[in-house]
Amino acid sequence: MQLRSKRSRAEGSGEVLFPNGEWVLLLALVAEAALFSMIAPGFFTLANLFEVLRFSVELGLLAVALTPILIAGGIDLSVGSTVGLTAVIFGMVWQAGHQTVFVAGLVALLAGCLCGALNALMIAGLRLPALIVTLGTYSLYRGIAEGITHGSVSYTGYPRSFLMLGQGYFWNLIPIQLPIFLLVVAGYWVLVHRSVVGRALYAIGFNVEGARHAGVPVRRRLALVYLLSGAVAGLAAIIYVAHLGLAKSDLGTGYELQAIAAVVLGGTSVFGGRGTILGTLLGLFFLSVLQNGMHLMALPSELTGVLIGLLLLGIVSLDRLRGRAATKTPAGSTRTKQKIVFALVAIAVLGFAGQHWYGARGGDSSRRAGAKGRRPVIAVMPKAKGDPYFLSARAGAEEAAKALDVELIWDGPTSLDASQQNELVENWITRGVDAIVVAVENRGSISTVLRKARQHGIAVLTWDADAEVDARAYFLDQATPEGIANTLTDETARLMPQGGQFAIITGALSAANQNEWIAFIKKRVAEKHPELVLATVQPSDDDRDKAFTQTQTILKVFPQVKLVMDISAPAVPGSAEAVQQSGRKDVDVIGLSLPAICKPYVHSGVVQTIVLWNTRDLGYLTVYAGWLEAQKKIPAGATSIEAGRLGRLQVRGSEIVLGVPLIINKENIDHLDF
Amino acid sequence: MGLEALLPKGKALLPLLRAESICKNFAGVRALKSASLTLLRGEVHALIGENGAGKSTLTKVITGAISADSGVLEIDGRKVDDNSPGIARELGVAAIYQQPSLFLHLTVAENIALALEGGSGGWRVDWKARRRQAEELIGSLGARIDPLRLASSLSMAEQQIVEIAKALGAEAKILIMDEPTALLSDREVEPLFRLARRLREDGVGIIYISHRLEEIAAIADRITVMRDGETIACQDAATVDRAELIQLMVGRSVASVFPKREVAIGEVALEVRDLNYASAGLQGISFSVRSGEIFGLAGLVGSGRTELARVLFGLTPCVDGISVQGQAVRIDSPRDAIELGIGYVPEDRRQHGVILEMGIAKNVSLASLCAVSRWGWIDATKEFELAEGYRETLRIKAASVFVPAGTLSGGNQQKVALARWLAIRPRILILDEPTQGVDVGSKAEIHEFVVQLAEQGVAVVLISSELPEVLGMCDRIGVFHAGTLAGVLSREEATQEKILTLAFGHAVAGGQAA
Amino acid sequence: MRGYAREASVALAIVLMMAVLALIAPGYFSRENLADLFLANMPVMVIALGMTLIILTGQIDISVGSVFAVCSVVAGVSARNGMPLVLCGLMACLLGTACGALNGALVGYLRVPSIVVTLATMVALRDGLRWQTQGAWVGNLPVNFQWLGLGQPIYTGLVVGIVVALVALVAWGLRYLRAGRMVFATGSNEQAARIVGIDTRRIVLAVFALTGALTGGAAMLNSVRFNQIPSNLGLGLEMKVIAAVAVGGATITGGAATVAGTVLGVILLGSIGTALTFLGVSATWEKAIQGGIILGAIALNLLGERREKHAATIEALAR
Repeated sequence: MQLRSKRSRAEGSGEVLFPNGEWVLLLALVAEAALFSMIAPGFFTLANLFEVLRFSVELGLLAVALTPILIAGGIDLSVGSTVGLTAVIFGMVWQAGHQTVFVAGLVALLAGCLCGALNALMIAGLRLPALIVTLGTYSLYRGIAEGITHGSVSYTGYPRSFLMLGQGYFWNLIPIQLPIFLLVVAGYWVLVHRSVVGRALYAIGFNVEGARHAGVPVRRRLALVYLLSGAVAGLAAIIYVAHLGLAKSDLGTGYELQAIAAVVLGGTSVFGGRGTILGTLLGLFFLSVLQNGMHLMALPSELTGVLIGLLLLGIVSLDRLRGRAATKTPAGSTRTKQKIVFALVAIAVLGFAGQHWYGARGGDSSRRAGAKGRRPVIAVMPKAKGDPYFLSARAGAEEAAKALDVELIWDGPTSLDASQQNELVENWITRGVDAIVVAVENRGSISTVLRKARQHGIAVLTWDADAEVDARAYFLDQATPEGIANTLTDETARLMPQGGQFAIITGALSAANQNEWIAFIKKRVAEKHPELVLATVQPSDDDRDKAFTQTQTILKVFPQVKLVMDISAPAVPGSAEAVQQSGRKDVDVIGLSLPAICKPYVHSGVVQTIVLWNTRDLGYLTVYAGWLEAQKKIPAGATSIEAGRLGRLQVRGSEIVLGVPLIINKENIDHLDF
Repeated sequence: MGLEALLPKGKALLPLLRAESICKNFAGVRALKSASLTLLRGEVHALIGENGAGKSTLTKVITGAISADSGVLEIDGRKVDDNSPGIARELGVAAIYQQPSLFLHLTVAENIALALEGGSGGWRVDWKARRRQAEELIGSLGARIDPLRLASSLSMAEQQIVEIAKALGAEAKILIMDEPTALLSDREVEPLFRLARRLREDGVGIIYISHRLEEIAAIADRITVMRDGETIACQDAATVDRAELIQLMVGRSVASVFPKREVAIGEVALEVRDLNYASAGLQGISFSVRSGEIFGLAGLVGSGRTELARVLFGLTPCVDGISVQGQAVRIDSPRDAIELGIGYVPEDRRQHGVILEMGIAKNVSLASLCAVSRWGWIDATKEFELAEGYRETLRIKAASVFVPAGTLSGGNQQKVALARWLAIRPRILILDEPTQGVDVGSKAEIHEFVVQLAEQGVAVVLISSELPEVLGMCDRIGVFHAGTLAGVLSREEATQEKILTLAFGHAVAGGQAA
Repeated sequence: MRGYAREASVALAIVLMMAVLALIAPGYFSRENLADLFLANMPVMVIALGMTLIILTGQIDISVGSVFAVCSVVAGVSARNGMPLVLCGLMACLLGTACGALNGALVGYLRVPSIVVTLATMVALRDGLRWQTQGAWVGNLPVNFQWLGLGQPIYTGLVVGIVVALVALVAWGLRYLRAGRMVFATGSNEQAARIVGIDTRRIVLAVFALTGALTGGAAMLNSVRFNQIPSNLGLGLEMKVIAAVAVGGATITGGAATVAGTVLGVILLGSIGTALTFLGVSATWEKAIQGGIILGAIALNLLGERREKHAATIEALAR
């Protein structure tokens, strides 16, 4: 015991608790939390805390597994893809293989191990650079996941007991996946900080040759961390599947970079040797709290990305500056001072940004919260921000908000991401809005959280794509998938009276609703238009330029194709430009797109028809119907509602029908302003 | 021979280089206390001294690689206060080191050109001119290397020739040659000397560092002797004899310094029989070491001593020929070696011996983590006790065992490296240049610990370039020459001359010695 | 001399693929298809030239996709506001240079690891763009915006000319400019480079800035083919570029990469997608095949390296 006291005296109690200066990050986290507690409604509650934790689990698992890899001087870019692949394997074994969830889980973990093993083999075994190897497997694993599902299959319908793993709570408070996460964290903490292996990893990270000369089995240790990283990615995939209720090939896209950001923010050096699990956790929570707080303040999601990028740059640059200063003046005081200064600056910037935005949005709602007769808050979520289709809907939503004098929160994931949708809805519940209107990315995964919103007395509606029927009050039906498919197919038949070949360019191969449309198109062709032949389906990744290239290729490979049907909004101008530049007058382009971006091609006659509902009206309806429902102004069993400038709209069951799809062509395109 | 006769009139005897009372400290270790050197035009000035005497540090001060803490440095009559590699190069200082530093991905011609042009020069690259230049320079060295070969494909000797060509091309006025022949074969040495003599005639001043006293006698005009960071003497090469030089370098009589005591010699602990390993350059090596015995390995750098140590420690795994405690073994990795009770304190302390960024305790326990852990869980108290124990017994001077090893002086770092291997309770301990770059005090302590280990029955293999150390410490001495064990001498029969004769192989027998 | 085994093996893979295509789908080699392929891969090719330099110095840049998008949008907005086309192009290049220089300064002077710096700028630029545009496309471009892009034969010829000139320029510069050799020296042995007086920090800054400029230029050349500019351009572009350079034989630790290798890498990876369509293979496996090719290429590279190194050791010791 005497030794112990001697030791702690020698090492300094701060060094024992925070060997890598993590206390500064902790301070920053506390300050950040304090700031949000003051200005973000509903932030400072136990329930919100656990929600933050719940949404950090999958990413946290990956970040924790990455920490020892970075400590040993390596990197693993393939973790996100491994999540996708193992999730798909899990779903496949369960559904297609008719195995129990338990067996499927074991297989998924094993698959994760295999993914990690391939990395380990190439990095530790063949001594290839980790960055390039995992860049390769990043592509490979995602590719295999897409290949075996053809990009389109998603596995859903898991038993409730399994979904509890990702959606359930202990005592209605503590998310079930949290203990699992803590267990893994504890395991990794022991591994990194208390075990023989961890010690070896630090030695390897500082100096590989030095470690080898000390008898450290370098390759075995490296292999172990990559293997474990794969296994943990497998575990994250299982939890993710339980969380969302579906397994798809695009799960975990972009997670590798987010995980690396958390680890690096936590003080781990990419050059190896420095880093702690505690630091990673703090880095992770710093990012999650930032995201959560910004959502609660109804600041746009993309601002979070900008802030994360800038903070990351600032913190690592400062760290380097500090390192330089330290070599010049060995005193450690400058370093802590600088860190504190930086933390304060960061908080101030955050605060300023927050205040600014908050002010710009028309006042402090926490002040208004208690007051009677406050403006209702309608929160509308598109599938993804940064898509022109949803942008045009937003204009309508803003119009309605202005007309009704309600506050509109318009936010969504920056890219298609079902779990981010869940997170946003959770945050809106915490914030306390009056109505939530969601364009559903994934029906299975969002329904649970929408039911929760309804329990909190929030009016819940869906638009663009529906959730499960009992999870929402009404669905704003712009057009059914079948209706769209039929309209498109009938248009095709009209333009090709003699029949012949046509080609489809879709968005992403894994996009659910586009796959649904394709299925209905095939059905319609078989039933009504047997003279039509679908030559090929090609993905465009919602990228105009890729659609352009794909169309060029299709025109050459399938010269018989007389019509290209694009079912992704950015693809229509891409295809049209390709057809126009090819000079082929005999090929028509039709599709599902926005008048604004197709106008030149409709006028030039390349694009015959685009099929769409009035997105501006749809956006208008989201806010209007949300407001009606929040005010309980839609009586049960109503057959129609009065919707402002849209006039009287029909209600069919629990669907509010916007109207039939518009067929937009040369005649009417100039009258449409979206 | 009168030097004045060779010099151009008017500039006579203005020294090309004058270094006066140069001091330099490295993290508490005095590398240079008061070093002085005066180099004249047209002379080959040998700089000799034991390892760690400060020769390399002094040359680094001259080339601007490091800056002196105090002292006066004048190059070509100009006082240089803030020396840097750029300034030194401009003033005509060039250096060749034992270990070439080439751009391995680039060709020979380019390596030469980049070195000559540095950060300045035209914007275009004239490949023809570069090739011609390289061909000429290498040709004038009497060597033949295709200028278009990649540096990575050159042998060590060829790389050295390119280094020399680089300095030659820079038309250096002051040329520092730091053991340039250490890695060259005899055939390659002679052209080099011819060249040095020619440069001398052109008025170039050459600082020549070597451990090969024979070479020095053959080429040097004057000799400066350094010891413990100080300049001890500057002598005319023609008038000084070997014994005197050695006396000056060592500064003490050999026997009194080393604590060697008689120890009961035990069973054979390590036996090497006819070990052949072509890719490590080792041929037909046989010897044995008994427990309690200190077996010295002498020989020139690059003669295969370190390569053998690496084989014995599993760093370059060898198929067969090794037995430990009478059992034939296969050592495929350092792990295997540790399990057999073999410890290895490597030559390059900073790169391999300790991990500079890690604390003393973590360094000490790194090779014996199983001893301080249970089921993989490290017992911090046990680890602390282990390190603290060695800190006391080895008298490691540090504030605590949590201080990073990099902050310690060289001697204390070496003690940490030693402690790491003591912690595995070795039966066989290989020490590769254990006292290189270590201050005198720590050196004596390390010697004492080694003797104590032998007394405890450890078989010690001591590799050293320092002949007095080998002579003073070892029971028997094996001498390497060009990858073979040229001979084994007992303590009684060993002398510096005999060791050198064996180490130089036929070269010494050929009568090159002065 | 350095062997060209690596380039040869990539070339062989290309030849094999072409042979299969020639047998099954000769239409692949039609002039239009080749021209289209060339134009489609032009941005990757141009940016890969810069990336080759960055990887030569031992660094990496994953922000090029975001820089590409930002430059495209800014060029489009300027054109809409009546700026002459040439100035728009210049502006895109300058903006790209500025982004690259920021990366380069942080990497070169502050010694922040390049993967962290460019990860941060990648996220910040991409989301900043999203924030500003809200996903809206830049439309209503002046009629003359497509003037160059629509003059089909001229444009194709011009772009082919520009790309060939750039490739030749970079290849020539790497070999015949002192600055080019300094890039090699920096990546090969940074310490030694400093000793001979090369300012390695400036070299790093320069290669990042140059890559930024090339990215901006590629963005402009690509934009003029269309009459609108989407704001989500260049997603995943960085991975394509890095993969092409890696397949071309560059070692990620610096010092070894060739322009020829990069060109071959771009050709191989860039033609696979279209080739699969021509061969009638489902597009779903494209990504997996690309990943496999990257891994195969580096494994091959390794084998070659080991053999060379082994030979060198034997030679060194057998003296």
